[in-house]
Amino acid sequence: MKNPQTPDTVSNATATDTPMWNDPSEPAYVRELLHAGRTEPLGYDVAQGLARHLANVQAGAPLPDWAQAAASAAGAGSSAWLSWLVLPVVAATAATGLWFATHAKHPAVVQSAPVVVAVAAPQPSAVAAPAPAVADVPAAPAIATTPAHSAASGLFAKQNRPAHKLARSADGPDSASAKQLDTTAGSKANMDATDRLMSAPIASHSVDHASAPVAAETKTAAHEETSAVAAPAQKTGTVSESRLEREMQMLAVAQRVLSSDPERALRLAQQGEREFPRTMFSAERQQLGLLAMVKLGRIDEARRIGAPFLAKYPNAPWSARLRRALATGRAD
Amino acid sequence: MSNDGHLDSAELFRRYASFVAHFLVRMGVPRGDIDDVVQDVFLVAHRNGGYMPGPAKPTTYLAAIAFRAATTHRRKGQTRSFVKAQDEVVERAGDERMSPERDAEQKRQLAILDRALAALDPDKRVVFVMAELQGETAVSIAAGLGIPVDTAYSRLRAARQIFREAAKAFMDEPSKKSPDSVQQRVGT
Repeated sequence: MKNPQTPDTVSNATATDTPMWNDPSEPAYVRELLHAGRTEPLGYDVAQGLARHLANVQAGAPLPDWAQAAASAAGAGSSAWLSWLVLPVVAATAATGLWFATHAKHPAVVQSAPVVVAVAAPQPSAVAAPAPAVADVPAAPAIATTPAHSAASGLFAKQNRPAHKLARSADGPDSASAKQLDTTAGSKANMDATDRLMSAPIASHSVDHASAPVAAETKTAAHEETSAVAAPAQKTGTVSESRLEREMQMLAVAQRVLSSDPERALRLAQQGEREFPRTMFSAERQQLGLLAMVKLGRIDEARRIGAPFLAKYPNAPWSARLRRALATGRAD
Repeated sequence: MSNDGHLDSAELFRRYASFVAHFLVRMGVPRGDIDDVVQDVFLVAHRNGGYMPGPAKPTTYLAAIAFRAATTHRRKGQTRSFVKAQDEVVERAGDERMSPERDAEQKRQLAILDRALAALDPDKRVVFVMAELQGETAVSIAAGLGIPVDTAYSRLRAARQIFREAAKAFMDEPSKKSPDSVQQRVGT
């Protein structure tokens, strides 16, 4: 690939200048596979599709669910193509609302569903307005070390921030924060009623090893993490929002410190599993905990817990990474 | 197309619907669902006012939308088993004009391609598909996805390595096993 516009990335450009399918140094089977993909006769009927598109436009067909809130944000002045980076947040919020509405037994939690549904509605105000109750949650020192994670700012307020800042603020230039939210939302599908992870390997692990030094430290630190962010209110329509925000913050911080402080990442994963058992983020959180175990050198333990876990989630967005980490003993 | 380079959704559809359809297939959307997802993509493009010239090309602008659509669609569709989805892809792939042998070989290659792509996480997969299968530049990919150019390059490099290993594992596979069992080998 040519990259004439970025002289500061010459080394990168050199490394990726030639497409694999046309690179003689690549194995023949790689080139053949890519050639097959590039030349596949898909046979999509453009004329028929265009007719359907025009009919949809004329009929004022509603946007797909995943695009509604982003379209509102774009309508409020956001850059259209940047607005896609906030979609994982919206998807996670909407999915969580639905999950609470269909699974939670506490009536106050059920009441949160209409609030979340309103987020997905295509009114700009539904996205632009910060959630007042969320602002009542005190800031969390442990989590507020990342500016973007001030618990005083509501989830919806974050959506109004420039998307690139949202993506970078927690986890650096690789948009890992957005990726984190993206993959956690992805685990919603894995939370199908028949396929939900009923046991929490990481949490179970912490119980099993309650006397171990790390586990003991976990208990203390977990208390700190718990006290750092006030427990969410229990009787308002924003219960799920503030809980979701806190849960997402814990996940984002765990993801951020995975390389620099895997012990803390594991602690946060365990703490999250205790505090938010069997939510849509459970699987994501547990894979994070397993990666942290690998980084801590607790390979055998991670493999023992990870094998049935991966068997249950063989094709989640993070499965390949976790599988590699367990196989090689190194988490990338 | 107007003089300022603006493309409305109908024009985008005429020019790039096939591009989007191929992109969605390589991102793992089952073929039977392609038209529905293509419609979603262009409906969103329409509501966004079509394409306006900027850092992203029309293709990468649409691919960024399609990436969200594919990701969401795949989550919804995860009730289907991975194997079933892959078999469906294989069964529907191919060109009727080909000889049976060539047709079978292409089906096999496309099946391996899709399984190797499935070894990539979505962030790497989208960059890899756009760069290696659709010929986009890293600069345009970065602009479309809203990521730094260096990040696009680093994801592409990582994706290439994973793809090579996955492709080799699947090519070496003597007979068809479950994707998971082969992916276990990829990680080793």
